[in-house]
Amino acid sequence: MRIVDRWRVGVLAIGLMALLSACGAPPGLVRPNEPTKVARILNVTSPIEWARFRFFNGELWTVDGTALNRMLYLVNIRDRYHVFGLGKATKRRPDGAFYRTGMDASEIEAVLRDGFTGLGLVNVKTANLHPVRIGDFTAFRFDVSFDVGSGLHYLGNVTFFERREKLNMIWYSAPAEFYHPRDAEAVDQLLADLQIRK
Amino acid sequence: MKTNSRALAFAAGAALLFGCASQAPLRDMTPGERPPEDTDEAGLWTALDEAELSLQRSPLLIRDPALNAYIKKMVCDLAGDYCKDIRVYIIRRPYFNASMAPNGVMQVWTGALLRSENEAQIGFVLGHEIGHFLHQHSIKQWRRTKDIMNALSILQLLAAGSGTQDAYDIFDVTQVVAIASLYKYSRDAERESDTEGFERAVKLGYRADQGALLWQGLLAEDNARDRNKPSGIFATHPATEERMTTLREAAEAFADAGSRTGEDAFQLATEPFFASWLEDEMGRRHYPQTIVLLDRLQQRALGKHLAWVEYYRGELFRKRRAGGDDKRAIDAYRAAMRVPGYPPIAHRDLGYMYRTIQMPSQAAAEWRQYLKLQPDAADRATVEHYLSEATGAAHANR
Repeated sequence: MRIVDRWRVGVLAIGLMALLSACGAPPGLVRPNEPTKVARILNVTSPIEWARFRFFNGELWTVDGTALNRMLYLVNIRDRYHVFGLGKATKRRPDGAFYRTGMDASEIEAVLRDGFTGLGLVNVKTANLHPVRIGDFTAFRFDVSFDVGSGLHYLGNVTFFERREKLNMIWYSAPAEFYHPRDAEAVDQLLADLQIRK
Repeated sequence: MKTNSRALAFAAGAALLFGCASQAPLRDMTPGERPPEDTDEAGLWTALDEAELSLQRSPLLIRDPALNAYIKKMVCDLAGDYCKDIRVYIIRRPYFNASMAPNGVMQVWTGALLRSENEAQIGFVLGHEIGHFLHQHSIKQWRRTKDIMNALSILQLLAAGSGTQDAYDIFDVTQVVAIASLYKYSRDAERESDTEGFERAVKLGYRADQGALLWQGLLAEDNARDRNKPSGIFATHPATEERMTTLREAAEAFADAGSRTGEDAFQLATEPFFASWLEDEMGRRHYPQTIVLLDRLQQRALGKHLAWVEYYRGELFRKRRAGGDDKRAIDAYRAAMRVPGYPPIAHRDLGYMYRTIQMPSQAAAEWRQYLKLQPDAADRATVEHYLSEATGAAHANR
């Protein structure tokens, strides 16, 4: 009977590391309360300090290490491309967590949820999808919770918006114990102060 | 050089024979007994016991007491005296799978439960896994793999020592043959377990044709896969077609053996999970296979189950967006709404479908109905946003 692709998580982790090392600038620092440009389209002001890794279509921020808190910015995801960079939809591979321009917010929520599962996260639950106004843009946000193989339970949220017919997202997650409660307020403030370049 | 190659070929054959013939005999399986401490099997069990502790902590485990008790009882009925030797773990994975470790750890994946129509079908699967346990297939395969790998290591050294291209060529061929022989052994073990599972299910009075029916459904799904099929020689299990034919022939021979399917009890036990397992299945985003599965589920689904099948059919077509899918999605959502007790989210998602095909007034009507049926919906703000967009009150930013 079938054996499922458990290696996917490893492959993705290696891919992410390769991406960070090959394409990224050296790790930087996001200083508290200093406006920071992220991926050329976002202006972010954070009340807390983060270590910052840049790559070609986004940035990864963390305070204590990516397993303990992680703010992932992914920008300019194009029509028919996988939301987590796993290639383009093709005739041979038409169905997957691919973004399509013009999707409604609930469809994007579902695509991201399936994308999380594809990354190897388990018991992924999303809830409370709601619109948020960021300048002239209508973005949407939903809460997300999931477990990892070791049994650690994570909480977080995802904010996403379409700009120039491309999808952009900010995904924050941290373990439900200690790290999420500690930083949740700071992250809420960061998201509330977010600015998007037109 | 030619003599050298012949000698190496001889050595390859001899080493392989040695590898295959050197397996330690299997112990007699007695209920409640562990392998003696001084055996390789005991070492394997110790490692597997540790793996079982991790499995017990896995977030993928379905811990619902009622479902676990139901499946465990089936396993006990099928395993008889060996009931206490087997621990069952239900794993939340949307693929058809079940497995059995030599130390008695049985995994049943939710994809197998979703695809089984009744007790008789899942009973066949559980009996098959019990067959692996009783025939000690895993330990045989493990020993065989060890022996063959040892033989191949010796051959590799010989090939390297000879320093000729012929020697390397012979080694490559031998390696392929040896690995293929492992797969053949695995296929033989599957056949043996199929027979065991069939006989145990039939002995409990289950209808003999249910195993073949299950495989017929799986074969239809497999044929709908949108990628190339794997090579027959390296398939780790018998081709489904062959398996189905064998089971069908066996069923014909035992046509009068029993009439029990246990459909009602199975539906009752799996009812609370049906919608979430369907959602997990949708999450695979392998739509051609899911369509086949939904068609099969529709034939037996009643009441709320039917509503969920139709709702997810609508979701599938809305998300797939192939030609004609918009109409198919609308029809499926409407079919779901004809079933009493249908999920109100069918209105919401039908509304999104109408929005996609630019029918705002129809979309607005569906969203209003959704909010009427589900006034405390968690996504109320989003639906209201689209509702005001549809009625022209809001400005879009796209």
